[in-house]
Amino acid sequence: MSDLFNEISIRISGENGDGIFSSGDTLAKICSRSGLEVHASRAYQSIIRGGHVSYSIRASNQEVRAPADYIELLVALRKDSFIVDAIPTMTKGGFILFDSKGSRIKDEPIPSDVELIDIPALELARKLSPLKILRNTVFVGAAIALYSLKLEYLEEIIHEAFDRKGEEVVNINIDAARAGYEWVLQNCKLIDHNVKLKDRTEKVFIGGNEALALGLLAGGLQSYSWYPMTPATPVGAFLAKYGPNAGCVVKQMEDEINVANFAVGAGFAGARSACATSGGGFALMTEAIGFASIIEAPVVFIEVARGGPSTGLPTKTEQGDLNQLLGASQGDFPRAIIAQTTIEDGFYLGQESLNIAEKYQIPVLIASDLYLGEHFETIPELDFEKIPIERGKLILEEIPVEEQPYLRYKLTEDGISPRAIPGVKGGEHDAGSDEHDEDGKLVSDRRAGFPEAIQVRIKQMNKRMGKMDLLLTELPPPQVESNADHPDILIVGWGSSYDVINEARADLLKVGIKSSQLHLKYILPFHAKEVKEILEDFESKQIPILMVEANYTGQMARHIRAETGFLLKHKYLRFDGEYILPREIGMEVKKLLNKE
Amino acid sequence: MVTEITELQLTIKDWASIQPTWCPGCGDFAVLNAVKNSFVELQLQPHETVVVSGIGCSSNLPHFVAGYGLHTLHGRAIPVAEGVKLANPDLNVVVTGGDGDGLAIGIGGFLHGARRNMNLTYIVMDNAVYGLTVNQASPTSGLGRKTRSTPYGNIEPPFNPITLALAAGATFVARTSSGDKNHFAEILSEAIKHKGFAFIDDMSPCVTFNKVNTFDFFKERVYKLEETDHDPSNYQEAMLKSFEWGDKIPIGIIYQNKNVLTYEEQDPTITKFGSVVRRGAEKDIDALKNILKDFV
Ligand SMILES: Cc1ncc(C[n+]2csc(CCOP(=O)(O)OP(=O)(O)O)c2C)c(N)n1
Ligand code: SF4
Repeated sequence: MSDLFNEISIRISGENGDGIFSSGDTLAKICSRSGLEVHASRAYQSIIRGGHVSYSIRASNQEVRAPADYIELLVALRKDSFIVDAIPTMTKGGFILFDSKGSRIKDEPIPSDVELIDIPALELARKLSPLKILRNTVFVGAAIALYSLKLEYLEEIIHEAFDRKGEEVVNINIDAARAGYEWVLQNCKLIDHNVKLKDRTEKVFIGGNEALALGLLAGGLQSYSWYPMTPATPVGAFLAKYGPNAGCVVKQMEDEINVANFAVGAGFAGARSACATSGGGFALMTEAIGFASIIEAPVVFIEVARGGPSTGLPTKTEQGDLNQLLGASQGDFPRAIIAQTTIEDGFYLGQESLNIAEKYQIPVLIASDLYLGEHFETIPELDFEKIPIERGKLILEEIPVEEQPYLRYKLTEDGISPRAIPGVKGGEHDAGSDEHDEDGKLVSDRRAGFPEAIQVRIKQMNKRMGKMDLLLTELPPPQVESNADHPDILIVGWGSSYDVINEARADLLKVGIKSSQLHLKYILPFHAKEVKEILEDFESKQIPILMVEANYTGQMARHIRAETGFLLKHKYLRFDGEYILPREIGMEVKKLLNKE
Repeated sequence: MVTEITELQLTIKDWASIQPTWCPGCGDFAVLNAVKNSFVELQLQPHETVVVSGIGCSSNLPHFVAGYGLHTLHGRAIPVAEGVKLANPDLNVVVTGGDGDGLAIGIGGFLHGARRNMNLTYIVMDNAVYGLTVNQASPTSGLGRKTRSTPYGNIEPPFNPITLALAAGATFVARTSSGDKNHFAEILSEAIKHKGFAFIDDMSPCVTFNKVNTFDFFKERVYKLEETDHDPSNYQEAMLKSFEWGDKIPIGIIYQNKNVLTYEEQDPTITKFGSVVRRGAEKDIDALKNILKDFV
C-alpha cells in the first residue's frame, strides 16, 4: 500500500504534446539520484496531440515495485487532470500544484481535504522566453522544492538534455527551474514527509522492455528484426540504438510475417536471433514459429501484450494473449513459453531465453505486457557474469570426411542433433519446413505413406517433442512463497503481476492476513506435477486459493486446469486495461475471507 | 563471395544431390541445370552457398543441389534469405521459387527485397500457374486462362514482374527462358556476380498444367537483348523494354545498375563488424555497462 508521507507519490498530467513524459522522467530521475527507490509508469492514448496523459512516480526508502494506490502531489497541467487524476486517485492530505491562470482552470471539481497550490507557472516562464513548454520546467522546479529535493540534480539533467543545443537553451531552462523552485520557497509550506533523502546515488532506472532488450544483448544477440507496434516498440528502439555497437544487426521489416521469417533465417545461419511484437503482430508471426521448430532453428519471439481483441486497447495492458501463445502455429512442435515477471527478470530472461533456444534448437516465446514493458523502476545492480552464453551443440569447425555423412537431424539420445551452420565445410544439408529424414531430405512428396516414411515421421516427431521433456528437467520448478507457516490464503499469479501480488501480501500482513504466493513463469513446458501438488496441498488444508490475472476468461487458470486437472474456483480478473493494484488484490482477498 | 580459380577446380559433380521429383519435361530442370553450371563457372564453394526457396514444385529445388538448402514457407523465401544474408554476408545466397510463391503470397517480401538491394539473387521460376496445388491461376496467368480456380476463364490481368522489379528498385533485372539453358546459365552468372539485388524472371513451362505458355510458345517469340542495341544501364529504356510482351519477348539483362551500394555495405552493424556470425556471440560487459549510463 502506498503510504502518504512515508513515500513520495507524484503524478504529472496534461495533454499529449505538453511534454508530460519528459517532465515526469526528469522528476523520477531526480528521486533516483536522491538515493530513493523509484517506480514510474505512464498512461496515454493512441494519438499524438490532445487526449490526456500522465506520468506517475512513486519513490521511497524501501523497494517500490508496484504503482502507487494514491497520489500525494498532483501536478495538474490541464482541466482534465482534476477529473481523471485528482478525483479518483487523491485522498486526504494531498496537494495539487496547478496554474489557474496559465491553464485556464476555474471551476474544476476538487477532492475534499487536499491543498491547492496555484503557481503562476506560465507567467514565470514567459518572463524568460516565449516558449510555452518552459512552464513544465517551472512546474518541475516547484515540485522538487515542495519535497525538498535538490535543485542541483534538476540542473544536471537539464545539462544532459540540452548541452548539445547550446548554452542559451540550457540557461533558460535552468532559470525556469529556479523560478519555480524559488516561488515555492517564498509562497508555500513544504510537504512534511518522512522520506530520507540520501547523497547522490547512481542507480539504474530502466523499463521492462529496455531491461529485456539489454538482456538480449548480454546474451550475445546478433540479429533482431521488428516492425513497430505498441507496446513492444521500445525493445526495437533500444536495439536500433545500441545494437549496432554491440554486434547485433537490427532490421525493420515490412510486416510481422517477414519479421519472424527474417528471424528464422538469421537463426538458421547461426546468429543468436530474436524479434518482438504485440498481439496483432504475433498473430502474423505464428506460421514462422512452427517453421523455426521443424527446422530446429533457435529464435526468441517476444510478445508484449496490450488489450485485445483485434486492435483492442493499444495503449492499455492485459494478460490476454496467453491462449494465443499456447495455440500459435499448426501441429505439435517443441517450444518454450516463458513469462517475464519483473523488470530485473527481463535482463536475465533475455539471456536465458537465447541459451534455451540455442541449446534445444527451438523457438522460445516470451510473454510480457504493456504494464511490465513500459514502466520504469530503479533496479538492483545487475550481475553480468551470472549467465554465460551457451551455444549447445553448435558446430563451427569443418566436419572431417571420416565423420561424413553429416546428418543435421540425426536421431540422438537427447533428441538434440549437432548443428552445422552455413559456412561450415562438411556440414552442408537441407533444412526444410516439410517433415524430413535425418539428412533433411523431405518425406512429404514421393515417399509419403511408404512404411519407411511413416517410420521417419514417427521418429522425427519423437525426437523433436522429446526436447520438451528434457527442457522441463532444466527449468526451476515453481516455489511457494509464504509469510507465515499457516497462511490464510494462496494467491496464484503469472508473469507481470509478481511484484504487485507481493506488495498486496505485505499490506495484508499488516492487517493480520497471512498469505502464500505461487507465481508462474515457465508456462511451456509446464511443471504440472509440482503445481498440482502445491494446489492440492492448499486445498486439502482448506486454505482458499485466489487466481489473479489481467484477462476476461482466466487464461492461466484454464492452462493450469488443462495441465493438472485442478479447477481454480476463485479468480480476480481485471480486463479494463488498467494495471492491477495491490489494494485491489487486498480487497479481493478480504472479500474471499469474509473480512470486509 | 566469388572465389578465384584455385588448383582444385570444382565440377558439376560437386553440386550433385538427389534426383528431382518434377514431372518429366518440367521447365524447372533447366533452372537446376543453370544453377549448377553457373555455380561451377563461378567456382562457388558449396559450404558457402545457401539456396533458399519457398513452397511449390519449383521451391523443391534446394534439395536437388548440394550446398546448404533452406526450404522455407510459402511466400517467405525472400525475408528468410535476408535474415541469412545479414547474419552472414560472406555467404552466397540464391533464392528460388514459383510465381505464386513470389508474386502472390510473397509479393511484399519481393518488392521490399528489391528496394533493399541486399546482395541476393532471386530467380522466379515463372510457369504462370500454381503447379503444386494442381492448377490454379497465378498472378502471371494470362487473361482468359482456364484453370481449376478460373473454370470460366481468368478475368484478372496478369502482373508484369519485370516492371514491378524495376519500379521497386531492383538493381539487376533480367528475363530468361528455360528453353535456352546456356543463355540462362550465362545470365545467372551475371546475376550472381552483380553486387545487389538481382532478379531473374525465368519462363519455366509447366508441361502438365499450362498448355499456353509452352516451350514452343517461347521458342517462337524470344530474342536476345545482347544481340540488339539495348542499353541495360538506361533505366527509362529498361522500363520501356519491360512492357514488351507478345509476338516478341526479350530475354537477357533488361536493367543493371552497378553503381549502387548494397544494404550490407551501409548497415551500421555490418560495416563495423562484418559478418556477425563469423564474429561470434559475444558478451562485451564494458560496452553493456556503458549503455546503462544512459539509464541513471
Ligand atoms: C500459407 C500457405 N498457403 C497455401 C499453401 C499451398 N500452396 C503450396 S504451393 C502453392 C502455390 C504453388 O505455385 P507456385 O508458387 O507458382 O509454384 P509452382 O508449384 O507452380 O512451382 C500453394 C498455394 C501453402 N503451402 N502455404
Ligand atoms: S506440375 Fe508443372 S510445375 Fe509442377 S513439376 Fe509438374 S510440370 Fe513442373
